[in-house]
Amino acid sequence: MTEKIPVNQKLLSENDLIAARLREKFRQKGIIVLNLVSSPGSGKTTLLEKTIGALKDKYRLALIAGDVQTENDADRLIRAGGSIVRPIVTGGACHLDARMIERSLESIDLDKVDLLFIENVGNLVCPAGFDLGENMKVVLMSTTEGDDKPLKYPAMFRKASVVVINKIDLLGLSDFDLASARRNAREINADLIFFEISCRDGRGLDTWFGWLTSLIEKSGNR
Amino acid sequence: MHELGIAESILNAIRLKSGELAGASITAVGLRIGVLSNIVDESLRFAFEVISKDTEFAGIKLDIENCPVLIECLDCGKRNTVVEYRFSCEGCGSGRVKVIQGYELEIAYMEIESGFPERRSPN
Repeated sequence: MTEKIPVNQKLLSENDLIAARLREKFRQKGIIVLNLVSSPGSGKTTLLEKTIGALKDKYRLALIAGDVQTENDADRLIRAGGSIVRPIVTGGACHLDARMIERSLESIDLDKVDLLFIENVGNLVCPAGFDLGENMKVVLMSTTEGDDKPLKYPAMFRKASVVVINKIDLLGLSDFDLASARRNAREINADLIFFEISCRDGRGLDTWFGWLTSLIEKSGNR
Repeated sequence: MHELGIAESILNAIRLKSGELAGASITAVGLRIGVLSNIVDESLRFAFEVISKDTEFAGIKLDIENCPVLIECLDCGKRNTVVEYRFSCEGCGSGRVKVIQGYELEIAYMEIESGFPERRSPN
């Protein structure tokens, strides 16, 4: 005799549980946490180098930099002036997960942090599925990529709050169209905030720094 | 994308429920999976097969109900399904929409095969 019994139970992965724990911890400490994602080569590390340079004397930054192999990005961030920098070498995983972040945080005194940047592995697919407890996902894309990027990676652009378009100094050298890129991204997520920057010549960076500053000031941690 | 973790959660739920039942076995699990959960049915079935293989729960069927993305327009109130992640109202074209279905990831039911009419109550 077969019987169907209702269960109606939500399935949460282990990652979701750890991420929820992290989110609560960050909230209690008043820390802003940004999960920076992009395809490989869009400029995540360079953007963070510039950000450290601009904000390190005013605010306490912590950075976690993940890659499949090497600690190159973390080393660059230290050389740029980052005082709290932790590398994560996944050894194979194509994304960072909450457990890796939790482990990294064991050696960081969160009472001494205003803003935590997590530089994810260069990948627009898998990181969309792994909550790290962040306040927001910031997607970086560049003008040397296709302007249909948002349509090809909709899950990531849907989950993101911010899109930073980098390498605007190279506009015109490819078929990338800024208006198309914004329109495509807005089709996926009408609430996205946009920044257009060039890490190379500095255009747009002040607006980015200003936005980060307002996030920190509003968090009431100061 | 993290089908293995979800498969493990399903197996744990089965283990727990199975402990509450006497003389009955679970033959199928009904799942509600929304498109926005980014879980691929085939990958989930495969992951579940792999982790349940040498256990007493090998062979349990996964019945998957895929829930499409439904949005409600905050400007004109119209509801429509979302195709290809284009989140805009079919009525007025507004991007100000609320997702009312699509993120589901849950066990809806379990099918029990029993030879006996009574079962131990969960306590």
